[in-house]
Amino acid sequence: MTRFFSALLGATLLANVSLAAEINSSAAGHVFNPTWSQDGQWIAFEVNDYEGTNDLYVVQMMGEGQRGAPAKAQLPGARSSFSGGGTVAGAAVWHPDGPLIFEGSNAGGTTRLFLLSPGTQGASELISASQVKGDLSWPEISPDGKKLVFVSDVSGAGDIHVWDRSSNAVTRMLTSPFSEMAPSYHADGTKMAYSRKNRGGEDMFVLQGTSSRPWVGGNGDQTRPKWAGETIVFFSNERGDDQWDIATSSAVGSKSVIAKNIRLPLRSQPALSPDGQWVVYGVSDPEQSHKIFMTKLDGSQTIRIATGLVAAGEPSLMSVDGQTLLAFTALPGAGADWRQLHVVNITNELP
Amino acid sequence: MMISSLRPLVLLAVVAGFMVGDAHALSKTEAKAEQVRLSDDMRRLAKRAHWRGVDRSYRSLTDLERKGVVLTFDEHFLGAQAARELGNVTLVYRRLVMAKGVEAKSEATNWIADILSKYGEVELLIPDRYKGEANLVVAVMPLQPDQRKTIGMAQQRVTDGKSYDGLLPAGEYTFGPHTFKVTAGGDTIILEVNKKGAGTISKRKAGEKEPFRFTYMGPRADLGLAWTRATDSGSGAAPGSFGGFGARGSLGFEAGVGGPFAVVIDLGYQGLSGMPADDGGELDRVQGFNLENDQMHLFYVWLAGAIDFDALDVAVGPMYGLGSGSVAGVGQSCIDNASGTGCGNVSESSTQTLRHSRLEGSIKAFGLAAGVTYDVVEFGKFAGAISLNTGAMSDGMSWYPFGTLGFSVGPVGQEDE
Repeated sequence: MTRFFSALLGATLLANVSLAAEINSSAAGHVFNPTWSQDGQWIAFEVNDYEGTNDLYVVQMMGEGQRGAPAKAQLPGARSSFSGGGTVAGAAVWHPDGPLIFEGSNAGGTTRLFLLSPGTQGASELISASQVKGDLSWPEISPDGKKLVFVSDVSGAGDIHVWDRSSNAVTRMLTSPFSEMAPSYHADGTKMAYSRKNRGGEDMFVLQGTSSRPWVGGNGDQTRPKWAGETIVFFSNERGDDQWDIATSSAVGSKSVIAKNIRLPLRSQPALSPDGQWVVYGVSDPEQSHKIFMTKLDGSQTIRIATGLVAAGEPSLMSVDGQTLLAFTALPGAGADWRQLHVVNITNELP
Repeated sequence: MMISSLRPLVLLAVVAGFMVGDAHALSKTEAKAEQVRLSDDMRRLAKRAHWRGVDRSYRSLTDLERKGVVLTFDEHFLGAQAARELGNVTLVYRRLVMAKGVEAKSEATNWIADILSKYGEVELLIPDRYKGEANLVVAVMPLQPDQRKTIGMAQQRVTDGKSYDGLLPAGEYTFGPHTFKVTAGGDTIILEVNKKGAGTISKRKAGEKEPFRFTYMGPRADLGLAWTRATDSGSGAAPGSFGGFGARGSLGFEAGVGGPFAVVIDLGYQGLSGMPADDGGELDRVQGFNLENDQMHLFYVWLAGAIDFDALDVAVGPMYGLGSGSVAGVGQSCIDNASGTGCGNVSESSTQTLRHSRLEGSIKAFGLAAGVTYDVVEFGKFAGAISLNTGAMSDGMSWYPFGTLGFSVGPVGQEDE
């Protein structure tokens, strides 16, 4: 207990929620990275069969219950004779207009960005190879929905590019000999946090206009930033390769660890509550892995939500009609085959 | 004499017939066989995902419709699939509507409904030599690549000064000073602008008949060489037969009326100059007579209906000519027998006088003409073509058969879909 929560500075509350609803899916594989649509009507999630295929599914939600079966996103050409499975689709982000944008590649192919309207299965390639070549990854949509930033490895090192929706033009925003990744827009759209591979570690930078400056460095990786107001929330493994923490930074060089030994999500940034006051996470301690944790960003308070499941993690929060819904993945029990997606209403568990 | 003098006309008719025959080469049975072949081609190419080839075969199939071939649901549906793969939603929609017209299968009706849940029909009618602002701007660019591509195609057309008749994704658009809203599956929006950019926006409900509108229009011109013959009038003081070659030129206008059909109006000049001759052969100079070439200057108006067989256009219609002639010699019957019927006023004249006398007068003739043009070059909205024309007019006394060979310039015609 001490080992895991010594960094939690404020009061700790324990809540036991009623059993979370499991989202039924015929897909065989571990479920990762659930992501709520901005209207709370859909959840996108990934299913990895650990045999080279990572599929993206979308399920319609009605509160904490699902409406119909999840539908698998189909990449163009995925059913051609040149594609014998092995497709990879994931890292979905929801556009304010409704569709989702995600990374995808057919077996052995280049990773590109695709667009999918929820309720349909056929995805379309969003940005053509004539606009920018290479593997495209880390999509992030500007708050007004007019721009999409992403990373392309066309130059050999990952560079952040921006796609302008109106003009359909793609522009390289940053050029460096290092790989940039995980761009995250500030809510006002004027600046962007991102991480950069730098001498073996990953440091955080902030780009404003055309000026980019180092924000937080240190040992290990400072990665996957997410803005919460003027604070950047990110993952850090400064204490060691397998020891991941959640940290915040409100000024250049400042860093406060607010949660230690968390279970690092497969792809996603830190999951924030809709009001941007809390960060949600699972932990790596097997004895505590049945809980999902919520810590206030100022570190003053932590809520533990017992799920009754095992190895809970990959959380995503959404507020719909005044109800706060938590989506997460977990094993049904010790020794179970696959992590499944669960959704639970935690409105009454919040302070 | 008569036969040999008509030889050029016969030759022209044979050449024209050969050209037209090329377009009409397929009988109905052969067209049906061609449909089977093209249909097989489409399926084979579709299996190989060679969608450009499928589209090409489909277009060839639709050409056969002019020969009475009726396309099947599957052919239209495969054409729609090809259009989808090629990223043209308007064509997908049009072909699905054709498929549904053959049989209202759910795969077509559902697909149409899906398209109409996102798109609406628009006609942006832009006249030639449009001088207004030619930017089509969408208020919010959609995210879906197919919708962006559709807008891009429309933008490209109007930027090129061409009208756009097709689908646009639902949303608000601005063209010059005009703003209009496209509603998914809603009424067709019609924006018709004049050359200066002013215009009107109207709506047409689904199923409402489209008002007649020329599908294309443009000026045409023809320049070349004409051979004209005038038959013997058979009356005493009127000219005998004469003929010869001369220049021919015309200016006109052509307008499409739908499908491959068009109307043509030409105003032109056709001249003739030839050695005077009669059954006794070419006339020799004789003292007392000023021997000059027979001449005719005819201004004409030709109104024709035309049909377009790809590079080949065929036009047929009435022609009215007005002009003058200056000819040596009266009709052959009076030369042969000056005291014969109808030769009363010339019966006292000698044969030499009858053969060499200069007759001048006006001509008003009416008849029928046909023209064939074969496109050999295209430049912008115009095509240059080899032209062959033939026809005959009559002024009640003589017939004026003619044939021409020239080079014409005219509008390309209706664009492919």
